[in-house]
Amino acid sequence: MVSANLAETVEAGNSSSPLIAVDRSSRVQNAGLLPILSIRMSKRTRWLRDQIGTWLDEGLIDASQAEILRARYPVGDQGTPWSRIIVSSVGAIVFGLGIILFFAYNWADMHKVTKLALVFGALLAAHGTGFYLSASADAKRGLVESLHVMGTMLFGAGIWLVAQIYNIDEHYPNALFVWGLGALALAWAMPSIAQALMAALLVFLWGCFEVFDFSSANHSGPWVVLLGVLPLAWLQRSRVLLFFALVAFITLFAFSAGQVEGDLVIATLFYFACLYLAAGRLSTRGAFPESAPLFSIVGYGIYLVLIYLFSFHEVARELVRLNPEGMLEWSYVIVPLVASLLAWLVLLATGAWQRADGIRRWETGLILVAMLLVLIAQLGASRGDVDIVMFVFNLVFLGHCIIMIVRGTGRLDWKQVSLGCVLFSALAFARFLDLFDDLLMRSLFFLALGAALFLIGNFYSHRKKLQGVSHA
Amino acid sequence: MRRILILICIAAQVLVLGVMAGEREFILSTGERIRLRTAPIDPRDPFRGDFVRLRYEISAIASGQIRASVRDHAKEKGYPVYAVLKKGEEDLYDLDYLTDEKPGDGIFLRGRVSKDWRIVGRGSAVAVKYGIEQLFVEQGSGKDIERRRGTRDSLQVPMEVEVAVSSGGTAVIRDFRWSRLGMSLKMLRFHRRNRNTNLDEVTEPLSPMLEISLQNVSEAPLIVTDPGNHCGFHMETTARVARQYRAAYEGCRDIRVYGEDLIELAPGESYTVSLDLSEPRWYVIVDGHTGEIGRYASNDSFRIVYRAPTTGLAIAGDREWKGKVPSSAFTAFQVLD
Repeated sequence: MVSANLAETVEAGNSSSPLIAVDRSSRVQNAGLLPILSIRMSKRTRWLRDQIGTWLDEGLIDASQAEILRARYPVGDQGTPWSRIIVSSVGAIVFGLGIILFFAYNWADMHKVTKLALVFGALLAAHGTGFYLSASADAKRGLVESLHVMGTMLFGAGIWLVAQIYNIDEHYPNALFVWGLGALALAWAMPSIAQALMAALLVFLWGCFEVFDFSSANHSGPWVVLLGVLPLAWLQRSRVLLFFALVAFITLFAFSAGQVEGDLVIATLFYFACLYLAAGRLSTRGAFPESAPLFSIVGYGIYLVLIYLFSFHEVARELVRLNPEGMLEWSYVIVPLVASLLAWLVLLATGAWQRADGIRRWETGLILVAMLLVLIAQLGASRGDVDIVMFVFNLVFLGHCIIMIVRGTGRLDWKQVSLGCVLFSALAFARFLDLFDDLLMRSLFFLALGAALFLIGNFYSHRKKLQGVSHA
Repeated sequence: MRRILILICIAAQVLVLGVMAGEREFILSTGERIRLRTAPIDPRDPFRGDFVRLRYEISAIASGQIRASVRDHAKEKGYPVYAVLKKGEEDLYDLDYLTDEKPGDGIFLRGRVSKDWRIVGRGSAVAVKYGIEQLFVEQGSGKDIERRRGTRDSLQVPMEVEVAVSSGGTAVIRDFRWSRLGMSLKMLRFHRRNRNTNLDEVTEPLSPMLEISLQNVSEAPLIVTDPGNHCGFHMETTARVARQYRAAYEGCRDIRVYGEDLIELAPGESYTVSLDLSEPRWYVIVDGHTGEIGRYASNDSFRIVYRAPTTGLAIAGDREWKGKVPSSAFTAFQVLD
């Protein structure tokens, strides 16, 4: 909630006055690409608090108003404890490697019992100390968590060391899975974001090695992330963990889909991207509104790349060619499709359309049209329809570019305008290569594209200048 | 309640390691002890000191030793299989057959189908991993082991790994020793050809001439046997080869061994022979043709295997070598490993 409020304040601050009140409906409308900005909330909060001091000095607000605003945007609670996470993790990794190398160096001199005693002793010492310290009232949570993280790192090292002691050369991804489960269990029991991050990474590696090293689909990997990691991220309101979970889930699902049948990857990615877009908008009104930008970053990133790719003949042909054979293959299409449809239905049923402004409605409409198109292309289109599919996706992508430019210009958001222009240029270049052979046409094309970008830049500058006059 | 949950999670981590170690300890103390012949490859792992990667003779299984039910899953990586073993010479175990049904009795190893194309190529052979393909050794000794194992251009000495096998087929490495006899192979002559070479127009021999040396790498004298027209040596296809080959030469069948056929090698001493594979002694029968491998098998790979013939002579002690030693693999024009 804090982040969403801040986002709207920052945007409002860019338009007319830094203290313009923005109602809830406009916040929901901003849950598209713009909330991406709020991922750097801590930095913005510090800026805002500096500004509050300036406003106080200038007499724009009085001391009580300044205090209310400072209380509303605290700095300390919002930053991710990256330094602690990184230092603890690196320390644990280095410690684990040290033990492994110590074993390797002293291999001949150490009895098997000594090696095992070291493995179990290190594991118990790390966890035991953390557990003991956690009992005291003035226990430092960071230290306790770091010790348990080290314990779980040693657990992973222990799996490999026991394998080394007994010359075990089994299916090694299983070790990553067991290690990940050990971290996940502690992540829930403590609860601990660091343990959950470790679990997400290990489960992700498990899935990747199964797919790329053993060429076997890992059906359960994505669901372990979805059911084991994502709820914890939500409950703990951890944006870092949520981001990793979202990326790990969609990536693992796509990898497994590709292993089941290569053509399934684009459909899986597309429907889950649409699901993330809907979830991002839904979460702005939920208990964890700070999650919205994360859903949007991952969702929009994948969605826009895919729409762009669908505007190419080769990829559009792959889309039309989709023809799952068995139940398993179908499940990799049906599950993401149904999930995204349900999410969008819920979103629309809760009044998203009514609350949206004109640009947001166009954007929503384009996403729904794209979903419908992909569905029709996959289930109803023939190979003769590839050109039509490709043409419509060109229009959809162009529509998104225009929406970004118009909205960015309206809000004086240079990032969104720039992104819109870059995507527009990418689309223009792609079609330029497809369509024009004649030198005259090529030169005219470049002139037109340059003129369009010049006009956009000019209009943006003009708007910004007017904004400056208004402020003055 | 939360603290109890944390304790349970920690206990579970300890338990996982305990089960891993306990199961192996149980197998080491109660399992059947057997020896398998290996060829190590690719040592060193920067994070785990030195280890030797092992490939066993039973890691690559030719189609003739695979039960029909396994053939349907031969390309399915991770498919569980059982290698049923039989005791051979020199206290070593050889493969009897590969099946996917757990045998009721006897010595067998539980393994999984792998996709190591270097072992099986594109043929109908099956590559199998048994979970005993790594041997961790003291830092620095991995290179020593590799050196002693030899390379394609030098003397190669097989390792013989002792494993303990549980009743369920799980194997755990106990120890290893070196074979008493090593073998080297040199290609003294070969005919280089390309895709457009018309073999009918070639006047020189199409098949290679090999120099094979057997060396006693033990600390005591050793007796090898080579009766008749080098009947102690045999040419066999590798597991990668799908076609069925048969030796055309009948002169070694039921050959009698006399005292002059026995060669006593002092420690470090070698017995060297030249084998001209273009001679009728080494002709093969394949696909209805009879001839030298240079003509009919230019792309298939072979090994020369020294297999001690049964002498029937009374030789005191264990000086007589009774096992077999395979050479590097080779085709008609190059040495492979």
